[in-house]
Amino acid sequence: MNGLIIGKYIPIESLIHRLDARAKLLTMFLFIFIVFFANNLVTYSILFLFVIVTVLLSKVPLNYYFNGLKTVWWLVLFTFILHVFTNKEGPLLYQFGWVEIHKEGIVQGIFISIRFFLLVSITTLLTLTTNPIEITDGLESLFHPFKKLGLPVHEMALMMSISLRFIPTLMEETEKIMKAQSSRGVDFSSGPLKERLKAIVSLLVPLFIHSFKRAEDLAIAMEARGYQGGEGRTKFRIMNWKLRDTLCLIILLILFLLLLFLRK
Amino acid sequence: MQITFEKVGYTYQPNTPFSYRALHDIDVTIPEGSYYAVIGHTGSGKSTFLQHLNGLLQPTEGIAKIDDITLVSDKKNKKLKSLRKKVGLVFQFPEQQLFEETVEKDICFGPMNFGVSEEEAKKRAKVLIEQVGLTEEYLMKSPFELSGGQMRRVAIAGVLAMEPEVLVLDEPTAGLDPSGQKALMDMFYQLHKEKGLTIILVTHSMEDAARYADTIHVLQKGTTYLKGSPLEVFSYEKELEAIGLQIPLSLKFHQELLQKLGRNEKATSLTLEQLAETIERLYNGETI
Repeated sequence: MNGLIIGKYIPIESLIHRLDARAKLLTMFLFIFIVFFANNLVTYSILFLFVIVTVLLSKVPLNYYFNGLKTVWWLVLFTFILHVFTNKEGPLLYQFGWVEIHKEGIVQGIFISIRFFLLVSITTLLTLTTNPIEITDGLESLFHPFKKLGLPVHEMALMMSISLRFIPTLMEETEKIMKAQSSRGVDFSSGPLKERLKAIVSLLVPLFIHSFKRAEDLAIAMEARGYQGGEGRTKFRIMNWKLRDTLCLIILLILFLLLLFLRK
Repeated sequence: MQITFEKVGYTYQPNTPFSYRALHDIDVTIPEGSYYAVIGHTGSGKSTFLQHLNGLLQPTEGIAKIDDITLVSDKKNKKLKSLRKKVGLVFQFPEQQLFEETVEKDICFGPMNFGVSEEEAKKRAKVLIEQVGLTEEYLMKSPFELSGGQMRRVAIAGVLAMEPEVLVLDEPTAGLDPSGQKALMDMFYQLHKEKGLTIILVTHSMEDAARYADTIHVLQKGTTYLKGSPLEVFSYEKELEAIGLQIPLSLKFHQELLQKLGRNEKATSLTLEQLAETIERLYNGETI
């Protein structure tokens, strides 16, 4: 369970950590958008550089990013191979029977891999440097205008923060129940299929029962403290949009313009 | 079977920013047939220590020897299953591990995982359900229609049904009503006395540790703070108070009584019964 990196916040001090969650969310969305504008060596290098600099600024140990990449490694490899063997543009480099490898295939394959790397790095960067609660608050604030259209923004944010809040609890509980069942002779990692299924059942039944029970307890606890929904509710954490947040967005805009200018 | 720990330590998530050394320099010898109590505060490393006893965790430092099985870091042990058959572990709030349709099936689950036949497992379930203070009618009920205390008993029966040689208990009576607490603790003690079951008990109750254990091991910040017989350990009253632990009330009472009477003797009453006898003797004018 320790290998799971997406959604794991690392509480340290850095410039990236201090940025407003809204600025970071907007930056991430913008970045994902402009990644698709890159189409040659220069533009990809610029984006690559941008990611490297932000990653270094975040002060999060680099192996965390590599762990995050591990989860999509196979996907990257698969798309790379797909590109190499199916793209038939550019000069022919190698031919063996019906297998043809063209120059464009390799170039596109590499670009797509870099694109994956950029996307995963930037989203991992957001979750590694931003407290999940801040992300939820940021989203709630960003989506606030849609409330007029009848979108239950507060309720959705609440649901998200509750689920985020209970991910570690659920993981802890999973681990605990796995250990308890292992102590009763259950083998979760090997054995015939029938026993493996039984092992999973012995884990899932207690997990479900406790999740339902906890949801009920939580609802009662919230009602007991007078929760009535989002109307007129004030915030405990006030978000502060500072100069550096504006600067962050300006840098992104410059990056965008640079890309429009330099792309083929 | 004997349990020996040499300089055992455990670090959670080593080489990450979350790295946490929960246990270090633990030396322990638990002879066969003993009753060993582990006390300490939340976060003192008790639970981490317990999980080494049946190989749920493998030490990141030092060596843990349990019977003929040696646990060291980085080496996957293939004999873990046989270890888990010998060492039954009852986690805190074990009722969370129930999952079968009937109480009987749940009690049979453990032993059948270790290759016991269904018939034999059912026989054990019948005996054990009475032993933990319920009746045979409960066997056909769903564990989820029972009360919390009853579920706890069923879960404990489920571990006892594996017939382990060592029983590891992590605060087995937390959250039970007082009479239920006593009944369970007495049941464990009876198993210890009659069948020579080795018991390792983690508890917050100094009274339980004083009453049942022959060795008390106090953990503080992941390492040994005090270790010895109950009377030895509880003679360090100041040291225990320094880490927020108190000596049993009966011992405290005995101490104060001797002090008030101006007698220069050592308090020895580990249980209320012993205290009553002491008072009787003092009342009759005998020396202690």
